[in-house]
Amino acid sequence: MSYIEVIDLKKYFPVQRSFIEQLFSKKKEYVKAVDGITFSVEKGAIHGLVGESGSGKSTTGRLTIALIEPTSGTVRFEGKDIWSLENNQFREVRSKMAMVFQDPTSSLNPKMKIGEQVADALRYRPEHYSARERRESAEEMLERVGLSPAESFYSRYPHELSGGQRQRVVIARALVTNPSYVVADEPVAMVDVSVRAQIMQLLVDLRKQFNLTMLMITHDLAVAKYMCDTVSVMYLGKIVEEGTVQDVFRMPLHPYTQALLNAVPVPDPENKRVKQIPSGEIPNPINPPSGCRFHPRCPIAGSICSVKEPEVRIVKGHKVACHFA
Amino acid sequence: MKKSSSDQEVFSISGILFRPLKSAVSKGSGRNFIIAGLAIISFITAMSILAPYISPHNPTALDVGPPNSPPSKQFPMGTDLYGRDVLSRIIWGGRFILLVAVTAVVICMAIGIPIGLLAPYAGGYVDRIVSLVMDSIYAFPSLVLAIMIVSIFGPSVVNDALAIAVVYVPTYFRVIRSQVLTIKELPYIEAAKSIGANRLAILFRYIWPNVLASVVVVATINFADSILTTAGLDFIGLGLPVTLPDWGIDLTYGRQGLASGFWWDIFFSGTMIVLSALGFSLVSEGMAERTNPKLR
Amino acid sequence: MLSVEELNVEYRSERGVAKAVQDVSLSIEKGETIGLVGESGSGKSTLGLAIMRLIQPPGRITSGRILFEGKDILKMKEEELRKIRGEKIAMVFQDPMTSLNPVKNIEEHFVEYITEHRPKLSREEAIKMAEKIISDVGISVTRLKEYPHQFSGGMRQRVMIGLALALEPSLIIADEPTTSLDVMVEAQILELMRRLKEKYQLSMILITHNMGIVAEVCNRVAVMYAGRIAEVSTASMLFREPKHPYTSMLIESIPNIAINDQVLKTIPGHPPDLTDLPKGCPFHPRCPFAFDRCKVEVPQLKEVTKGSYAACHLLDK
Repeated sequence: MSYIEVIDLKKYFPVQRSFIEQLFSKKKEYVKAVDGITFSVEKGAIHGLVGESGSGKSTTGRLTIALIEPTSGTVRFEGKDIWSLENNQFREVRSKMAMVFQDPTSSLNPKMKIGEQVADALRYRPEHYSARERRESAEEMLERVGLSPAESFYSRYPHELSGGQRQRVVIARALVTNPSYVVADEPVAMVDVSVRAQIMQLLVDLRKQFNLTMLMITHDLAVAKYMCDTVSVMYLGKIVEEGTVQDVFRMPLHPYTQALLNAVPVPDPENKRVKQIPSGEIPNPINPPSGCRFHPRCPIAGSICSVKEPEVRIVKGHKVACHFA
Repeated sequence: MKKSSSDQEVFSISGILFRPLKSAVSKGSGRNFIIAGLAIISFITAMSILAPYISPHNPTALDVGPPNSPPSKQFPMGTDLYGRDVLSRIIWGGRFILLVAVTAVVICMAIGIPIGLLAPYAGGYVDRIVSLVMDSIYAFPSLVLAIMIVSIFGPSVVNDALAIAVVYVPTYFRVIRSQVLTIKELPYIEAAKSIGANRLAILFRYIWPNVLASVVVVATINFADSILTTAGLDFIGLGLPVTLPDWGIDLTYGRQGLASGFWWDIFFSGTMIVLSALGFSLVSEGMAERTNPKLR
Repeated sequence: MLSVEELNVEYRSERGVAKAVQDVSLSIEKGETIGLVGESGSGKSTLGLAIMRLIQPPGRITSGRILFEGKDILKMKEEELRKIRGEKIAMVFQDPMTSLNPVKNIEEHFVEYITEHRPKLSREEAIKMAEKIISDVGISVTRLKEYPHQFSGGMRQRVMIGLALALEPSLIIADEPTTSLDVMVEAQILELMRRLKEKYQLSMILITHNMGIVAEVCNRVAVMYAGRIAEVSTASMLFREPKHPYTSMLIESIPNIAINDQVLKTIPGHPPDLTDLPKGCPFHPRCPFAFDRCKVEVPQLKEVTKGSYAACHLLDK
């Protein structure tokens, strides 16, 4: 049984319309952020959700952690459908999950001491902790993420810390509740380049110590390759390819994955590749292309691609959704 | 080219006019403004509280000196048309105004802050309806509404304060609401939700502390405005319940004397009104500058 | 063609004086693309703005010279500077959304820009120029009458590049031109810039924090840290044999998609606060090779091998 499982998950966001528009036209438009995806994450694995903007990866992450409710489809945690649980069971499941946010500056309350923000994560739990217990746990967690001495860091405010330190606080806040499942949304994208390796190493270490299952959302394929065991490549709300990092990155089958890997700049001038960049840009998720979403930009698109959506098949040991893979 | 050379002229003229102000503001004079403002406010508050002890004469006593006598060693601010010592009237004259101002701000905050926090947080129709009501009140000219209320219900500290408060609540509402709407979408609110915080906790521990600074700014402007409105009401004879010494009413008395060249009554009372409003405005400007340091 | 000599730029704030650029000397030859690499606080963007003399208060250029075609930009009068900005040196910024006026269509942007600098041209002539440039940057001419919000991020950046090239400058300064773009669009834009560079014989200063881009696009690279230049070298030398510890540690700390089973090395600490810089070499608190001299004396940029310069006391040993 997989730890986290997502079945035909969909999330549509209604497009905001003005008062007049609502009055005069019944037509509702939706941003199809996540449009029918199925994947699973094994216990203890780090699974990557990789994609560009509009791929739906962030929304998917939030769906698995029950921060937002799906439009349709199932989210399963340890085999249980979380949205069909009773209130107290739902809370219990939620309490095993945590999220690490992208921007360390805006995901911390500027007016609250960072130690208090970490301690706060223990305030709203089904189990009850006293103020002293919360403080002690928070300080211990601050030590574990490298903010030492914890007593002195506890009373500081976010603006007194560097970007990397703030991200450590965000990680501490996520892990102080002892979760078993963590979603990390672009955890190093907004951290200084020379500090990124520290944070990535921290996440890898903590994953081992806490025995975590992680969902890693990133647009940076190099980061995904380094940190993840398995990966799903997303495009415009759909998963186009999925498998172990070795399989997908060394033998990409889907034209989008191939283009993506080809486009990533490599910090090595000797690595001279011929760039084959598909033309055009990512279309609007309100009106995605018919059939295979990638067909307008795909170098090997055929006539079937604009008509029929490709099914997920297993080719060479990993999953791909392409008529020609 | 024609366009750019006249641009240059405009720039240099505005440069001369605004450069001192620009450099004063960019040097972080926010702190200086606050200090100056607080100095004025404490001085006036102390003066009003200690009035019974420091006032040389009874401010309502008639004919302590010859009427309409100019400032002298005996009467440093002169006497008014009834022979009352102007200095004593100045010392006592702020009490009523300040009391009304404090009451008005307290009432305003008690009503405006909760509405400002809850309506946008609840969202939907509640927010729409409350905004509509607030905007309607906001559209009303404040002094006219104040006059209306006081004429109907009669002058007293509470009624005057209520008249001012009604008019000012929409300002609190608008400022707080716009802040709440912005903050609501920020990642740290989502983070609070992700750790399981309930709506009330988010409102009071995460949203409110970040709204506080702008509330102080609005409150200090509120104070300044109340002072001016109360003085205005007193001036037209509507504000004061009884014959108290008051800067506003002294404007009325002083106005009669001005035609004859007796400038001191109206001058000193007018100055005190402006000074106290200025004190609060300075604090407000200073605080606004500090919460928004990028404003140039 | 451009030579920066001993440039110093500082910013005053309530917290103190931030020395954004310190004693920076750099030269750019005709036709080359030089990368200016660094993280936040390195001074790379400030340097780019300083070259165009776009530093606004509370920032100030306190000393140094910037020689462009023999003349010092810092000493020029407004009139002369206007002739250079746009016509000789042009800048492309990071976020095209805020650089374009939402109420003007693209054609208007071009016409206004072109006629501002070349008042003698008629509107028709300006439009002809705009049409030529816009198709050069890969946008169909029929889209000239559209507004910025109708364009995607990548398209808007193409418009910005088009505007920068409209008056045929010889030097382009691009400040993080692809940072806000998706990976594939980034590749498109970099390819575009490479093509245009050849076609128009441009020199380019590419400011970025992304070592990958630098490796792919630049001839030479200058690595900046805390306002100073740590190393200057050709791109291949920089990655093959980095001379400064910061450069080598940085390269080894970046995930490289072309390497399998990579082991990342972490750099301890974090970039310093520019108002509170350490004495001596700014990198010494984080450098595993730091010794006594590093803590007191600022290392000077010296030539190590032909064409490779680095500022590190280790090289004197």
